[in-house]
Amino acid sequence: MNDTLPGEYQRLYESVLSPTAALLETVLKGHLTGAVHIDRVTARAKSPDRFLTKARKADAGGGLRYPEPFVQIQDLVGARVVVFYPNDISATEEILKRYLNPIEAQTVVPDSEWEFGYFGRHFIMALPKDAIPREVHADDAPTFFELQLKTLFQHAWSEAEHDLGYKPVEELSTEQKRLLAFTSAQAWGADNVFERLVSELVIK
Amino acid sequence: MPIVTSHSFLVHPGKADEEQIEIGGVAIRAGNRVFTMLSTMYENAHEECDIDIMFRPTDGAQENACRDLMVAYAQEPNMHNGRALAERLQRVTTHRSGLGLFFLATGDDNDKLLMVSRFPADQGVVAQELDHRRLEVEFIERVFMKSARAYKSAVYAGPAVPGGFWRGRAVDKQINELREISNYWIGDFLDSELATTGPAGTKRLAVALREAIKGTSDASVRDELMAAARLMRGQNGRTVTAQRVSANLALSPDAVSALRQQMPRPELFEEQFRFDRDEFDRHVMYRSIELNNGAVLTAENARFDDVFRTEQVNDNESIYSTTGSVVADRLKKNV
Repeated sequence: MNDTLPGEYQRLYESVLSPTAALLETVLKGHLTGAVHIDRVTARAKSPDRFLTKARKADAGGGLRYPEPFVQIQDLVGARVVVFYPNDISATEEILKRYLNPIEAQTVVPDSEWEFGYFGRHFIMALPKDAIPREVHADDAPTFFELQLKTLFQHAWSEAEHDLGYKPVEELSTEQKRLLAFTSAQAWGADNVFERLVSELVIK
Repeated sequence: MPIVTSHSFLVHPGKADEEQIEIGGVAIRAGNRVFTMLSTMYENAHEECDIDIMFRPTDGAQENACRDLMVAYAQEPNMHNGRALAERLQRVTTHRSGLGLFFLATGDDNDKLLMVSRFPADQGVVAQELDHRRLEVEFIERVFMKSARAYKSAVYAGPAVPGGFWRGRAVDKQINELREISNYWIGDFLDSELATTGPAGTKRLAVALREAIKGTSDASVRDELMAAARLMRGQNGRTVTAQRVSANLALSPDAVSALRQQMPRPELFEEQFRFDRDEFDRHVMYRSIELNNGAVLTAENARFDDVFRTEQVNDNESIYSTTGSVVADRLKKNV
């Protein structure tokens, strides 16, 4: 592990990533002006703690999974667009893809149909140069950012799970995991009910 | 950053051919004059390659066959990996593109710079002065030149690792503003597209133009930019830059400066994108209505109803009113 990495990242975080995330948020809001059912658009720089945890991850062979962490970790800047209903996901995705170039797009769902947990639509997008502040040299800015597209219920569940799931020192018990899965199932159910209601009441 | 390894391959047209011609290749050694020429190109590659490009993903995954070959060559620059790229180029080369000499060059430090270039084949005449005022001329084929009209190149920088080398810069001298971007080099061979989408580049230009019109206190610059807004719509479908559009419309230095200042970053004035008229109209549209009494009312479309209040007098007539201070008052031949 390169011991200069924490200092390097801290400098990058303050002088490049945080201002870039702030401008990216403005750029994304601009692209979604006039779009319906957008609850919020946010962007943030990956915190130094989380970056270092990820940069230290090992691969199957015991080496570093990201030997070039500034290049290979593609979510140094992350953005989230929250829409009201599942029906709004594809329409919002189409608007964003007019302006942004994705190199990856995936729908994240639990591994098995018998499980409940994290749901969301994730992209790795090329960072548009419009989102790089003038005072930042373009070569210092990350090449990509992660964009998450979620419904209100997916967002609410992931925020609470993130808050609760990362807090305990000990691993969650089976019962606690089941309770979290239950809340995910509730959120999934609510999304499905709203999707149906929108189809019946709005989309004729 | 000097070249450490370089290879060259003779690439024949092979598109749609079941049987591909075997490709001859050679390692270019330091000290050779070809090596010296490549070194100059390599040093200037970032300036010469002025089109920002990005590899296309495959079915939503971070996979691209051409990028894989580029990374393989950057990691291990040898004949085998170079030939794999030459074979890819041959499979997309049409008879119209013809025979070409393909070069690869890379350095050896961690932040790799990989350059790939194609010189087209041409014909020429060699003239040699002999003694007693005699001249010998000889016709030759298969001359490969860094032609000002058909030379192509691309450059990728950064560590050659998974996750790297997604974005690069290219030059394609067959592109000009009146033609579609050459699919052969950037689309078919590099399996890439412009890094800036058409709507993104068009929106950037449109917003900069709109803000420049709003922001200037010079009435003649405002008129010029408003006229440019109408004329720019004719660029639909063309690969342009804000700089090239400004030059084509013969904008004055003051108008160019006003427009350039409104770009989010200075270098974006030279960024290439495909102009999208529908997108342009979303951001810059001036509504102009003419009345039968000779009045012409013009305002930004999105704000027209805020700028002019309308009162219906009868079935055919309305009163339009507005309040503001006069910032310009002049005579014009044409509206």
